[in-house]
Formats: sequence, C-alpha cells, structure tokens
Amino acid sequence: MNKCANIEIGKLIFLYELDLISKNARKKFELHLFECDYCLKEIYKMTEVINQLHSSKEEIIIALESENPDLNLDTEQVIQLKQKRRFSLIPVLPKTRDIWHMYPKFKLILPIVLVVLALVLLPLIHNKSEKDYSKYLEFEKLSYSPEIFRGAPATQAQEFFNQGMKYYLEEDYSASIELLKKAALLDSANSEYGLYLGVSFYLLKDCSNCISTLSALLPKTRGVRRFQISWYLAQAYIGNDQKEAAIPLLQEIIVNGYEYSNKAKKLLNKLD
Amino acid sequence: MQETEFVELFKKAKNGDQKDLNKFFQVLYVRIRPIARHNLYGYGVEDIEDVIQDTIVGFLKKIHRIKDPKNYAITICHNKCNEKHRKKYRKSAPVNSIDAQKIDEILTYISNTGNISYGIEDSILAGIDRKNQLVIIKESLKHLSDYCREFTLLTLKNTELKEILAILKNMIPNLTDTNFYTRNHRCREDLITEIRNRKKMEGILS
Repeated sequence: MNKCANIEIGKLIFLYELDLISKNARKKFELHLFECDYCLKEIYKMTEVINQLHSSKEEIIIALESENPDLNLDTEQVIQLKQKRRFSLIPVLPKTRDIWHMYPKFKLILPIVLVVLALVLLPLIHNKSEKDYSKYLEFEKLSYSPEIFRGAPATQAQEFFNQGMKYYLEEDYSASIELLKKAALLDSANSEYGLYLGVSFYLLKDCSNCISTLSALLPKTRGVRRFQISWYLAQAYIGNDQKEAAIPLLQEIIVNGYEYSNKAKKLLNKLD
Repeated sequence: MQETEFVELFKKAKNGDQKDLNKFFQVLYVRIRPIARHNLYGYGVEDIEDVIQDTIVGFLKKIHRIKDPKNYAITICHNKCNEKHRKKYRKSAPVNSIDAQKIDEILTYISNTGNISYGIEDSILAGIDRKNQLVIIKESLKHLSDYCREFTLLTLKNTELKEILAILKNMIPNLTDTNFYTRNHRCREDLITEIRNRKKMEGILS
C-alpha cells in the first residue's frame, strides 16, 4: 500500500511519534494502525530516529540551538509560556497527568473520594466559616426577689408563678418552665411571667423556645422590662446563629438600656 | 490491510486451528509492537517484548469472548505498559497447558517469521551504530526548514501542543490548525528525505 487509508488520521503520525497528541487521538491513531499498512510501515521506518530524539534530547537541542541562534529567540517564548504555565494548576504537576493515564482506576476512585471528602468536610467548613458567637454569651440569671402580697388573695396564675420562681431560684429551670408556662397561659397580660419563662428557656440553652416566648412579649412591653426582654432575646438570637436579628436589639439597649447598656456594647463589639 | 481483513483473520483464529491462530497473532504482533514501543520509550527491547507477549497471552485467554479485537488488543497493551511504569509488572502465565502449548507455538512462529514475512520495512537507520545515528539525525535536522527545526526544538523542550501552535502562529501568522498538521507531516517526510541523503553522503547507503 502506497497511500494512507485515512489521511486525516495519518497526518497525526509525527505528533503520535513525538507523543504530542491527546489520549483520544492516540487511541484513534493506534486503531488506524490496525487498518493502514502505510502508516504502520512509516512507524517502523522511523523507530530508530524517534528513539534517538527521545533518548538524546539534550544533545540534539544543543546542536540545533548552537547551529542556528535565531531559534533561541523563539525559545524565549517557550520560557515565557512555561512560566505562565507554572501558575495554572494542572501543568504545574505534569506527573499527575502521567499518573492519571497510568492508573485508569483513578478515574473511578477519584470522584468517589472527592464526593466523600466533600460530604465530610463541607459541614465542618460550613460550621467554621460561620463564626461561633455563642462563646460570648453570658448565661446569667435574671435576678428575682419574691414579693409578699397583702390584701387580695393570690390568683392561680400567681401561685403557679411563685412556685415556678422557687424552682427558678434553685436553678431547676425545667421544673420552673412547667409552672411558669401555666402562669403565663392563665395571665398572658403579665409580662413578668413570660419574661421569666423566656429566661428559664435561655438558661437551659433552649434558644429557639426562648426566642418564641420573648419575641411575642417584646411588642407589648415598655420600660425597664422591655430592655430585660431585649437583652435575653438578643442573646438567644446569637445562641441560635441569628446574629442579624440580635444587632438591632443590642443597639436599642445601648441607647436606652440602662444597666444592660455596657454589656450590650461589649457584646456588639465582639459580634463585629 | 482493510478494516475487515483484520476482523476476518480474528474470526478465523477464533474458530480455526493453530495455523489460523499463528497467522492472526503474527499480524497482531506486528500491529501491537509500535504501540508497546511508543508507550515504553526508554525501556529495553526485552521489556517491550515481554509486554507484547503478555498482550498475546491475555488476548488468547479471552479470545472467545472478545467482540472488538482491535480495541481489546490496544487496551491490554496499554494496561501492560502501565504496569511496567508502575513497576508492578508480573508476567502473566497461561491458564492451562493447552494454552501454554498454543502460546509456545505462536511465539515460535512469530520469532521465526517476524516482520519480514509480513513485509514490514526496517527502520531507516537500521544497521547504523547509535553514535552515527545521532550524527545523521543532528545533521538532518539542521538542514530542515526554519519551521521544521522550530517545531522539533519546541517538541524536544517538552512544550505542549497548544503552546507550540501558539508560537508557530507567531512565526507564521496565517497558520491554521489544519495547516499545522499538514506542515508537521511534511516535516516528517523532509526529515526522512534528509536522513536518506545524509546516509548516501556518508556512504552508508549505496
């Protein structure tokens, strides 16, 4: 056969010999070698030449460059290109490409490993990226002094509240919550019941229940009690990773929050 | 060889006798050898022959299950070459004594007939010692066109194909991708011609 069976693929012969073509093109050319006697003969013809080009690279480069210094001008471009290449990820590691071709199983294993790693690491990264502000919280009890009621007999709500507060003072917040809930249900207008219920939740580090209790109470409350509620509510928001909701509350406390102003200022600084 | 010829030979070998097997594997050997050599530059002839023999053994073991013989042969050959690179190469043994006997016959047949019976020409530098080969190659390269020398130089400097293309496009502004392949092909032909001329001049080839 004096002609190549498929000239388009046959043209790749020199690039194949010099190992310059992609893996797909290489396979195409190798399949072509099964069909084309012409290219097969050509490959056999150049065996020794290509072997020498591969094994005596340095010597040939020196010979070519010393003979024709003009070629050196263009090799500067190669150096520039190679320097550029150093900044791209894959060519920096030429060996990785060889490994990739040498170990075909990598193609199967690598995506699986990457997916598993992503599944394991993403939650960790996610948690790390969102700064943990809960360490700045103070789980400090809201002070309470029992009042002695004279005159009118105590209502049922008051009785539940008094009992609940006994547990509160003993720091048994689970028990206090049960009783304070009953008190707050019977007398929802009394913000004190709701406040201590919310604080009990907060001290138990149950921030979401604290938020639902105190945020319902906040719009109905004025004066010092409002700032007490705001203070605990802001802390509950922070504990619940809702920094944005806490900030306006803290700012409000800083302006008018009396005893909580300094604390709120410190906490807000830490949040920034 | 027509595309169907190889497949026909394969079908015959699959169902035929030892003669058909010998013939088929001789063809396979001739086709696989450049592929193995290409993947194993820098390795000795023995290593390359080991890989080819193992490809033949692997092929024979599964001959009745193979549907695409060309692809299958290339894949086994690549895998064996990769094993060589990873230094995890182990010579595979025939499955049973019948296989061993068949393989022995095939390999004896191939080594006796070799490429010659298949009409494959030797390398243009065959019979010349390595030192003289290098001299001829260097001289021949020097006499190529600027483009061809530049292309060879860039290749020897391990430059990637797209970078070579970018540099050569600077050199020849109207160089297209198609031109690039045609020109490279022509460079190869010029190199062969130059080598032949050098050989004549050195009196190596009458």
